[in-house]
Amino acid sequence: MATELEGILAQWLTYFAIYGIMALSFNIEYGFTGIPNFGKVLFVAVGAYAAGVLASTLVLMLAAPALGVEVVASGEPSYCTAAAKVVFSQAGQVLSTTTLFAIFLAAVLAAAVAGAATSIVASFPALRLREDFLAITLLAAGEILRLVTWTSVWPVCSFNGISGIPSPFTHFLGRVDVLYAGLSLLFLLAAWFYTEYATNSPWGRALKAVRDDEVAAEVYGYNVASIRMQSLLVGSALAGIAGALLVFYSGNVNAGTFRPDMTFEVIAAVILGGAANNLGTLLGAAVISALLILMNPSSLDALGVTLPQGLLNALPYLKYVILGIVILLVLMYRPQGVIPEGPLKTPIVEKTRRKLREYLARVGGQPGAGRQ
Amino acid sequence: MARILETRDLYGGYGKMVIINGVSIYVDRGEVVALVGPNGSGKSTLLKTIYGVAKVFKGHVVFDNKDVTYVPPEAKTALGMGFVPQTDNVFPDLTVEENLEMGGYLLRDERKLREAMEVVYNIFPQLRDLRHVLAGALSGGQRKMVAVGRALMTMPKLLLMDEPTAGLAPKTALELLDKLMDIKRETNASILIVEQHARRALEISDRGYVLVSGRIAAEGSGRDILSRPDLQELFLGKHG
Amino acid sequence: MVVNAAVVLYGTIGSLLDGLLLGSLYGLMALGLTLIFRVTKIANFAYAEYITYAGYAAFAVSSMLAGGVTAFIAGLVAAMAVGAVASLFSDELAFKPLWHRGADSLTLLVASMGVGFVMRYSLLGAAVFANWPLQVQPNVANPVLATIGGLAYVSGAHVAAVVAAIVTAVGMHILFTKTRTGKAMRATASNPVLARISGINIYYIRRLTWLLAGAIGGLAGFLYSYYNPLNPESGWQMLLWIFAAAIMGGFTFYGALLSGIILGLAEAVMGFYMSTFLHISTAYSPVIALIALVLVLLFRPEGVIRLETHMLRRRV
Repeated sequence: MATELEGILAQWLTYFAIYGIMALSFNIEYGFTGIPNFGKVLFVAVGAYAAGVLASTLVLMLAAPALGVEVVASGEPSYCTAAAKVVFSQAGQVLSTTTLFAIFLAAVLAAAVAGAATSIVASFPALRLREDFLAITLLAAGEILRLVTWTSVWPVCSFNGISGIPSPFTHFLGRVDVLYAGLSLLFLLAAWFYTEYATNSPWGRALKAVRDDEVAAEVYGYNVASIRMQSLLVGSALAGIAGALLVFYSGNVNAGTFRPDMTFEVIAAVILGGAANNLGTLLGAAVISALLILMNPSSLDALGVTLPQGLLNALPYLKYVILGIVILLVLMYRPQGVIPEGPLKTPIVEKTRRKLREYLARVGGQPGAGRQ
Repeated sequence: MARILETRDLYGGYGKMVIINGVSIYVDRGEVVALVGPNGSGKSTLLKTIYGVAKVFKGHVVFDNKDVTYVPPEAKTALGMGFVPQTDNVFPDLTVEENLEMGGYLLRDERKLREAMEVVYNIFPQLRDLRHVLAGALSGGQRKMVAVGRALMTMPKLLLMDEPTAGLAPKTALELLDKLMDIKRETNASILIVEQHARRALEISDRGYVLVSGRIAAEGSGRDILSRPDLQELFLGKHG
Repeated sequence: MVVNAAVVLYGTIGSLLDGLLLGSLYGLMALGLTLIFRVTKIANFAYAEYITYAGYAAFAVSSMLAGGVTAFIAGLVAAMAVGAVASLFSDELAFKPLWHRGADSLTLLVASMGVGFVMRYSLLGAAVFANWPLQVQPNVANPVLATIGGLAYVSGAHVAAVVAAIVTAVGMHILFTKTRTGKAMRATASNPVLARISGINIYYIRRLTWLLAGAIGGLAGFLYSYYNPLNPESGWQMLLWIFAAAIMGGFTFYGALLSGIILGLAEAVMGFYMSTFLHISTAYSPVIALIALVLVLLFRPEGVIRLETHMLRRRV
């Protein structure tokens, strides 16, 4: 019972981390800059594909010769072959934790770069179209990628996907899921610090200026096109990282994962928490990921909740019904979200520095010196 | 001298913002009444409050001996009121003819509609040539004609007009005001008119009200108001 | 594989016929979407669900009857009624209250996605919960009217779809340009405050718009399910095609119909040629419409085939 609870908690924290990063990324674009990137799942998918392809290629290159497995591919990528699966499952025998971690980090980096690179394509419509039409364009672009990669064996083995990509924690015993949750949370923390810093900097002010009044922003000397591109670039790099984390969490890359529903989950998180508020966004991501985890027959089973079979079968759909209702209620009764947008804060670095100074002053025996 | 319109201690505005603070005015049948005042005094808001486009907080609007305070705008039109807003006063995506048709939406009868349209075309002959042009593509002066023409379609007993000459070249503005007087004579409508050009408005009106900060500061015949030195200084100075 | 000339010929004819059928249905569906967009300015993602619900209603009603003409008419009426009611309800419960609060077009779009989610997944959930069949088709036969070369055929669905689409498009165009109510719809879209001042009851006009759009969606849903079994996600799977047709058509009625037919033909014919000659999987053929949508939005967001000007481009 306790271990099952731990499992659910780890699952939730991992989802929270991944959805949190996606939500922060959507928040930079939508909340701060006013770009409705409804193709969020496109960038997550690109990141996941980049990470999956790079990681599986590296594992094959490093482990196949040592294991003595010959991987012959005919037309399909080598990592799609049956032999590759054998290599993946035994990679732990020949690859050290350091190597596995290096592969993981390289994959995450590749995902960020791939996401950012794709954003340059997306910036083309983002500079031209009215908001609702931009949203439809990006949504359609995401669907094109999903349909093509679901059918084509390149890059991710069509509907089979790449499976069995070894986790960096392959050699660890015990709660690997808890470890992975911790690792993902580290990424979330970094992403949060970064977005919090960036959005409270002059750059963040520029984003908001562009969002609120483009003409005025232009008059004040901001390059609107460039700022919108930068926002998409940062957002998409973050989305790519989230995609990579998703890959190493499940060990799989499958085009079928990247349905528009995922974008909607992210939108729901941001709108629920509060657009243009990073803390609110995280809160939204926590709630939405909890909903996604809990509305799951296996989680309910682990928690000892018993439901009639019919209801259990309907559960995966009911969670989206709830999600839709939540969105509508928030839009109607609290459109600014649970934690509304606040004024720009002092950059977090300055705040930390001030706290540190206060602390040092107190330790130095000058009571009250830091309290102003 | 029967009252066609009367407001009693009317409070109005937008959302939670009260702009009209207890205004009581009246218009008699066949009268032209001018509403003048400095910028931001609430002239437009008063008209909108009377018509139900802005929010009524308190007080009463009586039209033709009927309390119409909370009657929605579409029903006020059906009762015989007409309104020419200052801005957004045409349907830009509709042709001139369709604009007029929409003005006569309540006529229902095709024959009556054509008759009313003829009347408008006779008043503004220019519109006849422009009838298949989208209203959004017209010049400012032409648009005003469409706006006034649209409101005339139902032959209202009372016409509220919000700065019909704003933004027009002085000559065009004078012509339009002359037309309005013609219309008034022809249809025997009562008119409540808001004008930025206070002097001109008061000259053609039977009576006038001076609105300052959402309150009536003075009232009287057009001549009286024009001759009062204190009011001259208050707002007529610039135009004097 | 040796490509047989007869196979190519009849395959082409067959795919043209199917493309015409599918395209007419896309066009018909796009008419309802166009109507909603033109009157209320909402890019309505929930529209797809009216189609699905209508198809299910037609299934439910027609399967209670013995089939034949009665079942056809009952199914049609049920589909249009359910489509109209679903459409009206979604406006009354979600879009109208948001519009009253001054929601912008993007908020309304997100809300429509929310409405779509609620509708689609409650249908899925209910279907799974109650063990409904996941593929439904009305209990109405689809008679084959003519066969060509044993491969291509013309069925009742072909005729019904093309006729319904053309009649509806012409009807909508006449409504908007010739009738008092249709002009009032345009006036309401153009300037709602002035519409009220002109004596138009814009709430009545709005309700009528949603009812009509939903009924068109319902008609399309019925005809589609008459030809192809429906599942709870059918509407959603077609939604981007419907948007593609409506946007390509510049949100005009004839434009939407023509664009729908072009998209349907492109999907069927190109799919056939690609699989016959290039050995590319037909699974790619849906991508054609999506790429068309993206290209149109990128380069001619005001529409390719349009009858009126629309300002959809950004100012920058």
